[in-house]
Amino acid sequence: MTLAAIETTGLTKRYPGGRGVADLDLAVRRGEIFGFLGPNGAGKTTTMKMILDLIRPTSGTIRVLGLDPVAQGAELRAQIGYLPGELVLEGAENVGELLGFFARLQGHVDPAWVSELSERLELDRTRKVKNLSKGNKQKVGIVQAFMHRPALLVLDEPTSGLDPLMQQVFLNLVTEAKAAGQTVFMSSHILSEVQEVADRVAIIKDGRLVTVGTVESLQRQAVSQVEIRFGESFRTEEFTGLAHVGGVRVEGNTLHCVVDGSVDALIKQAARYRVDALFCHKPDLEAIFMDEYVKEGAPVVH
Amino acid sequence: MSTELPVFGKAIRDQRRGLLLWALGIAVVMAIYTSSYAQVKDQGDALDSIPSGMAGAMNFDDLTSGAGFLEGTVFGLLGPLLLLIFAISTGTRAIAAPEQSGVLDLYLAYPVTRRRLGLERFGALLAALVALTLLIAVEVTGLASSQDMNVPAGNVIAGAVQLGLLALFFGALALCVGGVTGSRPVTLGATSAVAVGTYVLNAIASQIDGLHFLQRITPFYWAQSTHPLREGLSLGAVIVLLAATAVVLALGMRSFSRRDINS
Ligand SMILES: Nc1ncnc2c1ncn2[C@@H]1O[C@H](COP(=O)(O)OP(=O)(O)OP(=O)(O)O)[C@@H](O)[C@H]1O
Ligand SMILES: [Mg+2]
Repeated sequence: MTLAAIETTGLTKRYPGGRGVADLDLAVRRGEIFGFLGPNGAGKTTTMKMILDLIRPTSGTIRVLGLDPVAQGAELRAQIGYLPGELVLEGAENVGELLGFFARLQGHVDPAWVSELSERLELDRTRKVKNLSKGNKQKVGIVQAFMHRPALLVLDEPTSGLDPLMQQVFLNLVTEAKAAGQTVFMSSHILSEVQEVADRVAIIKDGRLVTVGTVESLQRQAVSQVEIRFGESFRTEEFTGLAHVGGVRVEGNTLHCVVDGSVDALIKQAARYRVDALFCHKPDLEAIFMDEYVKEGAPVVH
Repeated sequence: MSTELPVFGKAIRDQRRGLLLWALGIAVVMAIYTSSYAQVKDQGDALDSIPSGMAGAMNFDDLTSGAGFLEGTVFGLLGPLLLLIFAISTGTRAIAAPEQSGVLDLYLAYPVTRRRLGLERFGALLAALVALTLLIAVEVTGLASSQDMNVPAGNVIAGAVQLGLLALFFGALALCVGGVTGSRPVTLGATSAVAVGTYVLNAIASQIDGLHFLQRITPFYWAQSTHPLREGLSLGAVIVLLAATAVVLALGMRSFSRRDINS
């Protein structure tokens, strides 16, 4: 048994139309919660589908739980719980019957655990599947992914459609899964959505891995966006060239800039004027991308 | 995975209602057409006005004999039409439709191989066609004897079996095209085109001396032009139709197992 839950080297998927993922080297450890972040079209779903052998790599290797998804697909998938990014459920049956089908398809599922999952997510199993709201469909998707206590959970944008209360229930399930030794590989657009639970995070963009690290290390790297509304006019030059301050832009009496690190110099300079309001956006995914741009030397456009 | 057949079970449950309606529809159509035999027999002369070539192509050679009547109507035209629509739409629902809707992504994330999923769904199609074939065989046998058609029950059953096998082939073809393309419109379009094309080819080739051999590449030749209602079950036809079904099924599963699932 290898240590890695998911291990890819040079994993590449080229679609007939072009992009997919390129040269992806990823290692997800057993027992960790791994956040897979990236903007639309980054290649998150593509990567997850290769893990499940729904699509095949163009080149590169992929091992999941020590198995080859192509050659040992069925054996591997018995140990995976998958929540698709675009969940589609159909049929004339009710939720309970559909979950029963999933349980039979899976093999060994504890009905008591399915009941508990449904109750915690407040999922009414007597409702007809086709009449479910988006959020309730998502709950069915979550229950079926968790119901056989798989060694690996592959969750593609799991919280989409869930209300904040249910998002919390979901995060609790994920934390419990980790405590039970299960590995969680989940994608999202937003860092804040996974940062509460994720041990490590990878950022993918245009099919390429941008960075991997713990949430704290990424946040440290990341820039914050600061907006200061002054009550009087000010001299722009006084704010360019301050320590840790970049991307200075002025709109009337409002100053926009990005700060990578201590805000001390900026605040002291701003204090010379009358300040009406000050906003500091926490580093979100977007800010981290901006930061990556800055590092690559490209101009920051906002 | 369990030893049960979960995909088969779900497919059966999903198609139960639809199948019941189809069975009802087929039963009614069969009854209406078969019971018009008495009138047709009396008005036999009127049918002479149909040009003989066309009558031959359409299986209307001999509408006044019981076997000829059944071959021209229930087994030659309406039965195939209804059964093929049912089989092609069921075959399309096996792979192409769920793949295009995206629900297949979820099913294939389970420890079921694509081949197994396809074969279990084929099993559900087979079960449905066995039921419809049985219905047709029993109903038409009953009607034929009550209308004094003078067709042995064995021949009616042979006609129903060959009709069922014809539908099974086209259902498997839809499953195969779905397995290769994963596209619902392509599957429906291509399979229907093959059905109409081979029907027409069989009809035309039967009327042109020297082209009769072309009939043999059409499933309609084997199912219908072997005249099961008159001659009884054609073992050759059964073998050819079953073999063709197995071949398209194998080709479809092979391609389905090897390609990307698109949704
Ligand atoms: N079947 C396909 N054929 C051609 N191109 C595709 C296909 N599927 C995805 N792509 C392309 O591959 C790239 C990666 O797509 P993917 O769905 O993996 O992104 P994602 O990170 O999941 O995005 P999102 O956040 O929007 O879900 C995109 O540019 C997309 O247009
Ligand atoms: Mg996606």
